[in-house]
Amino acid sequence: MTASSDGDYVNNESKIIPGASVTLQLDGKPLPARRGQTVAAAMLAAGQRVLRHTRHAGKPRGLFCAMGVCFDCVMTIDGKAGVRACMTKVEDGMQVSSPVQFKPYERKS
Amino acid sequence: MLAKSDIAIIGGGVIGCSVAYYLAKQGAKVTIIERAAVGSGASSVNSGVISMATKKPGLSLDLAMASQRLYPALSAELGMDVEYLVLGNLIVAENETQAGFIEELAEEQQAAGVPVEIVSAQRCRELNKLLEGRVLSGMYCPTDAQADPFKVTQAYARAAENLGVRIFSATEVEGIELVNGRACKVKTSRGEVHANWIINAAGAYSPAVGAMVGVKHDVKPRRGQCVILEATDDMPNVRVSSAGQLLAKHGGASAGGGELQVPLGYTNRPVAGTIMLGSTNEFVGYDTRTTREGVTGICHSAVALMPQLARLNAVRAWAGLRPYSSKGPLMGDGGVPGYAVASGHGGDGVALAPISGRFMAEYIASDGKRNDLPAFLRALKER
Repeated sequence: MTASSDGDYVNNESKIIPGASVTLQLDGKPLPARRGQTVAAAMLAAGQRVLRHTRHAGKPRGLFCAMGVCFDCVMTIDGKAGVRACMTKVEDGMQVSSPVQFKPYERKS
Repeated sequence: MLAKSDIAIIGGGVIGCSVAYYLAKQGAKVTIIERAAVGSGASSVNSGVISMATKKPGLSLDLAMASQRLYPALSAELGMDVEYLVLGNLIVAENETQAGFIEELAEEQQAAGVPVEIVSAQRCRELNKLLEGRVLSGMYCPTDAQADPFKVTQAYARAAENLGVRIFSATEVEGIELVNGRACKVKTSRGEVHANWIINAAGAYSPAVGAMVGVKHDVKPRRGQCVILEATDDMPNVRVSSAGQLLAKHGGASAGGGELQVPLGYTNRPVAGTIMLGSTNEFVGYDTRTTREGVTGICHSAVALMPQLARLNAVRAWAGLRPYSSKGPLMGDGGVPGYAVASGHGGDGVALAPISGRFMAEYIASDGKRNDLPAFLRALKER
């Protein structure tokens, strides 16, 4: 059995054994996760498809590219805004919340 | 034969689409031939800044002023919001040489009627609170503006299509045929386009089109790399650039590679909420890649003068090829009967699109007789 750096284990039959259980705090509520998962993956596994809402139309946004390119999945993680949920590995006790809703730009003229 | 029209325009960028729109408005039958998609070149990789403060007095400033006068009514005319916003523009001096340069420029611009003023370092920080680095003075132009470059291009393209203009995308120009010395056929990857006039609006690629009729256009690709920061809603709106940026633009551009100094360029796009930093000005041929030197150079100079920007994520970097001409925009006579050119707009294609389209429409409508750009601008002012 070999340990990956992520915390997942792969045995001789190439079967993935999930990492240890951890708990995130999503908007103050507990969300179960496994070590090695990204925040976005843990949320998806828990049925939470909406990660934030758009600035102008207030429409829900979830995972889009899932590989760190599109910045559609940004959340506030451990107090830092604009963090990509798809690129951030879970930690026990991690605080996750949707970003503060931006005000739409108001034109003077 | 693919199409037969009065005018064939090579290039579906902001200039080609604007020229098509104003020609169609006069009743002409127009075809645009675009090798990729509308706005896929320099029209999508630029700041959309409409600036008077960055222009040297003379034809380039007169053109920019005439073009800006057309912008406030443009969204209504084209039926699409192009996000024209007057946010102001501040050019800061980081050393004595730059301070002298902006003082001279301000005097010349005031004489030409641009409402610029030289302001203190203290006033610079009031205009844009992010400016915490060392500046000596600034030149402020409250009337400088911006528009969304994608929307300006699409608005012209759609308004042109509504007037009957046909746009052939993914269509490569392979040659131009002359009959009795007059350009009259564009050979494309999808067939021939017959026209009485052929207009080269191919931007950085216009020299290759010129070569098809044996004409050499003094245009070369100048690469601009930019960095986009993540969206927020609390960034100051006043655009800030280092006078060093302007000196690099008016003077020679760097050759690229090695130690690349990129003076500060900060542009807020408040509707999207993103910040655009840059750009570089490099002559490196038709290479549209971003480089580590370019991207880090842009970020370093920005953080040196605006340290708070360091807390934002950079979400994108891109590079585009501006059609640089040492003589400013080339518009009108292409050197062969029936062949005209509208290129060489450098980084000002979006700013100059409305006036360029109007001038080219008049040039073509007069069958090349009304070819005096300064006279056209004077007449427009008096109208």
